[in-house]
Amino acid sequence: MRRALPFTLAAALCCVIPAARPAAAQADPVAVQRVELLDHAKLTDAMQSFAREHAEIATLVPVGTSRGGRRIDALRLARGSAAPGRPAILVVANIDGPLAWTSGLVLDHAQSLVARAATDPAVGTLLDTTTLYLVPRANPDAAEARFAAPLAEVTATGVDVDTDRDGRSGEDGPADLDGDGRIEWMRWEDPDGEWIEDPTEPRALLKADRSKGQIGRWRLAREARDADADEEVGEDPPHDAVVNRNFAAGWQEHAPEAGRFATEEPEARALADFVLLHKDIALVLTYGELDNLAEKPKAKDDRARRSILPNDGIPGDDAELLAEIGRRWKALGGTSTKSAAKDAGTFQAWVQAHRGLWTVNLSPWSIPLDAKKGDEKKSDEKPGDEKAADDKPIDRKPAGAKPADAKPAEEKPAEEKPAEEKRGEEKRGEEKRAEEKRGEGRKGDAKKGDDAPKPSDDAKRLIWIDAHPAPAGSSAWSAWSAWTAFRHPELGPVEIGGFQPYALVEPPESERAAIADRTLDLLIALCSMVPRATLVDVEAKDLGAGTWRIKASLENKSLLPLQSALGRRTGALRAARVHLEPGPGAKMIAGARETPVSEFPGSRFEIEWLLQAPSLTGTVVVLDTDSAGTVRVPVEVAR
Amino acid sequence: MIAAVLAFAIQGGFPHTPVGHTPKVEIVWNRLYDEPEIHAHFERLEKAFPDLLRHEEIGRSTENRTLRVYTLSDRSTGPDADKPAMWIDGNVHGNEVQGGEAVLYTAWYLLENRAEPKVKELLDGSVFLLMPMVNPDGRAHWFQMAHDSSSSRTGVMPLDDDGDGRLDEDPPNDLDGDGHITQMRKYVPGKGTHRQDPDDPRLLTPVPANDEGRRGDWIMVGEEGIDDDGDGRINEDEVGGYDMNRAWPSMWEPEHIQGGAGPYPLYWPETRAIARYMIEQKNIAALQSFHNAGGMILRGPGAEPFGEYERDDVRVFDEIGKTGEKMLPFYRYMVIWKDLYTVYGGFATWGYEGLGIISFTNELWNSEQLTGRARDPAAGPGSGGFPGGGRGDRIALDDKLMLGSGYIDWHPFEHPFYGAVEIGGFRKDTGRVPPSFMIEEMIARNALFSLEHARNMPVVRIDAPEVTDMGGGLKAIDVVFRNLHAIPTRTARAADKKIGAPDVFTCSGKGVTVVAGGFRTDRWRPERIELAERDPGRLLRERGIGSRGEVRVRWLVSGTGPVHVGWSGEKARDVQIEIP
Repeated sequence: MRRALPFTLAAALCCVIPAARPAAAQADPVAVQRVELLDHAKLTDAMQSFAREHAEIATLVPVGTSRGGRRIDALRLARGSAAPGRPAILVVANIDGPLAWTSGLVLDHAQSLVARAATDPAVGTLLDTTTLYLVPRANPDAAEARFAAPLAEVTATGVDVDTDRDGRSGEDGPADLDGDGRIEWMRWEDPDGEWIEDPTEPRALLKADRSKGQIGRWRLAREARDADADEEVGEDPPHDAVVNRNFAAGWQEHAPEAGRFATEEPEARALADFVLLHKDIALVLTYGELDNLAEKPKAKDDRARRSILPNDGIPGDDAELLAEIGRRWKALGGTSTKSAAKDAGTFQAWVQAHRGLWTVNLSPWSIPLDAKKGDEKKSDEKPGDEKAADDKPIDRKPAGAKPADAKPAEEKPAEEKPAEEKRGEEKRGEEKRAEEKRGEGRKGDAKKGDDAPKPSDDAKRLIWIDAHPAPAGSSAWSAWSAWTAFRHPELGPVEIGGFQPYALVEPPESERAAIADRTLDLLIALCSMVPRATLVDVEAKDLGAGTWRIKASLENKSLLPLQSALGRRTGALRAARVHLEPGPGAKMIAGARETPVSEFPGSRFEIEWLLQAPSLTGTVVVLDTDSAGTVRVPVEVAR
Repeated sequence: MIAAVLAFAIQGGFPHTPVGHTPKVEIVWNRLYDEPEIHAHFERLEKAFPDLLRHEEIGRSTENRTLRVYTLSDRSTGPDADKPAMWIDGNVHGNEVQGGEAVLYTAWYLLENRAEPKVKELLDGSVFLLMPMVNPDGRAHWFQMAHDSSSSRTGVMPLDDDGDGRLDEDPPNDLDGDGHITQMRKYVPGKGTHRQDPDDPRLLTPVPANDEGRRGDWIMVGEEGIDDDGDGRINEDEVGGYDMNRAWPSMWEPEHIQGGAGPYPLYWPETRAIARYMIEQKNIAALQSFHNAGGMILRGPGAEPFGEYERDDVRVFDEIGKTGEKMLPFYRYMVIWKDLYTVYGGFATWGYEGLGIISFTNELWNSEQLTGRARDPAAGPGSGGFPGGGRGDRIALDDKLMLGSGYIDWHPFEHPFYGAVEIGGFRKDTGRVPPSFMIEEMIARNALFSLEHARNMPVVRIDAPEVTDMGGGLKAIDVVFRNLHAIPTRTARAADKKIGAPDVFTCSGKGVTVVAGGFRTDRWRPERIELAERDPGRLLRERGIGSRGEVRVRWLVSGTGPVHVGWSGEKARDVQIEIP
């Protein structure tokens, strides 16, 4: 049963935090499954019908076509007429191949916004004052693997290189050897192997550390043949270039995943062109492997002309603002995983470092690393129980890809809500140490005291996985499959199993609605943060002798300044421009014809002119920006 | 007597020496040609030499002009893909037009001389990929519209140069309608910064700083034009305004680091079409890209952060570059970032860094060639060989050698904003392009330099193998594979970054088993072999065969029957021999 807030309270809150959400489902009386996993045909259909059904708010805007010929579309959401202009936010999901579920997340945003447009004042204001471009699926070719058989995670969809230099290309990709319909992991004993079993959890594998006296025993690879008999398994897959490594910022020349030149992959070029074409975009929110909200990005203030590649850090001012956005995200109950993924060649790096746009990157879910053994978590967890962690996400390259192998010694305790952050950390650390000392709750551990090896991140994930089996009767499968003996046609006895495809990136169905609610809250909050340039206090003072002093203020009251520091550095964004148009018989006798403004301290920037005129009639101050369009304000006598 | 005359006449073709030759296709070389005329000349050559010259369209420019690559090769001696190829282009900057003529001349020279032994050798063994106009729109605009020697460098896709939300709204204006964009000056007696030269009223010189408040009577107003968009600036938003030679993928940087680069690499259709085409031609082993001006033979790196090129490759660059200096008087062989300026995303640097090809960019023409004198170092750059280094000398020489036709004398004009001004200056076809009578020399020398570069493309030979009976039915076959030329079969860059495919050394025979094999590391000790782990009959070598280098292989075989050993690679013709 929905409990509505008093209107005044809702109105007061709408500028600060989104209107308080009802605890249960939306106003929609029909129970709809939210955040669905949709294949290309169904997603296309859903977007097209959505645009048809809500034509007063939504338009389908083509973005491009994938290498495999699949269309890529955006939904443009905006209510009312476009003029005067409004800033836009671009939301991009599923540019990283395995994140097909995030397409449903973005579609859910569209559906929720439309459902609440009439009744929720915060949403209404948003749609009236901001344009949203939603791209649910930027990488449809890779996403389609989610719906294919055998099931496999696909990251690379682009140009193929002869990775093993044998004169053949793409001859050794993954294969479903045991016929269970999934491309899993294979391990086999080999004295040349790099891997050992995690002492705390034999199912998980770690890279052997010679400095600790560990000797490798296992080799690990994706389930594949050694079709070209070169003793390498799956080393030359049919595709190498990855869409989200094919952008120009930090592009890694000659790395197979980067492609032959930046924006060669049609998906990358299409998205880049979309950003260039839509100059009203002020902020880009991307759901993917990268996350810049989990902690304050590294700040590096570099006066040199040489570009700051994103990996080096971003200007301190921008880092501070992103940290603030991160704080607000956490205040909304959001959680974030600090990603170890590099942003070299990514879309996110390009929009931030080359286009200078406000860039928010969010990894919306990953398996928590702080589950306790023996905990039975219910399927509808409260939001906020997911914990962030600083482990490396799994490397998705089919060729020789390995699970994350965080070094036990460097683990940091998980993050909690900000208010409890420090306390939580200390508490957790103490608990862990205490647990280990007591030797409780750890199966298979034969250790005692502080020297006990700590579980790897994969071991921690297994704890959570064990505690969250697939619900009985559901179509979901377990995230882990036991290592099962198999006779490999070339390698002999191996074991097949391991983390199942998509297990590490797809949240359980039961959690998706909550994730959708929180991320929508973030999007709504971001709409109130984007810079909005307006002209205020446009007025004239009579100085006598037919002379007027005219003043106008350019105002931006949002959290984010007109341009980021990176934006100003790149010069890629067009500055806001203010100019005076003298009316008939009027002449400007002092002042700048046109004032470009890309930044100012505080929320206001004042400009003035001297006008010689018999009257002010027809004299106008004009503001021209890419987001506000052209705004003309007649000059009035100051009171 | 008759026999001598006949012998003379039979030589036909191209005039290496000035007497007794008539080319099949006469082209006037003391002129520069607009875009359609370049195509027309090539068409005449294609008609005259249909077995050697053909073209394909690889794309379309912004204004939908054809982008053509001409392939010059003799297919009767083997398919193009089997032979090493040299890529030669010109005119990526629309105003740097003489590259088009240089490419045309190269084609004409090869075709007319096809029977000459050294040319025939080139035609038998290599392919020429010729693109006279990378930027046909820019060229056409330069010819057909009013420009100066430096403008129309850009392509013609509209671009908001001044950030006012409008595109190309304030280009230079040909106020006096003479087809050239020159300069404006104004007579402001007693209030000016310049004074007129007493001997030549065309010349203005700055009034030296003085403490008596002396001023001149003249002021230089600026480039010919008006404020089309009323924003207080003149000529600040020309047609286009970008640089297609900053668009290429290697060491590409965005606009705030590298002006003109566009929002991402290969943004403009011309550049993307060429890159797509070139990536597919696996056999390109040499590259030249003609520009103007300055008299330079340039190689990368384009930017210091790259570091230095591989030493083995630098030796090859040095050899060819220094030979070029001898063939091209007053041209200097230079490293772009060190000796000229920083260029991110350049074409020839992508040729080497991205594609592993030994690549040069020649800047055609400098006025040292006109004066015959080296530049006075004390005079600034651009002073050419003029003794005083100044504009005055340039005008004086123009008066003598061009009868003053290169300079448009000052003439009055009523400017809507500045009032009474005078317009005048050098024509667009001076300065960066030579006077007519020096065009052929410029393009001939550069064409011959390209052919010199091409002659260095790798050629692989197999020395007579040695067969040694090891006993027990095992034989050792020792083969030396040699590259006779300076350019390696795989540059060090290509080997380092795994560009293209490694060279393949093969040994096989019906009834023969290749038991083991590998590259020998010691000329005298045959047991020192890098044994191949598998498939010894097919050895891969990332480094190929070096510059004038050799690779020794030993194969151990059993069985009876003829054995074929061979070499196969992307940048030279495959070779194979049979050992009975």
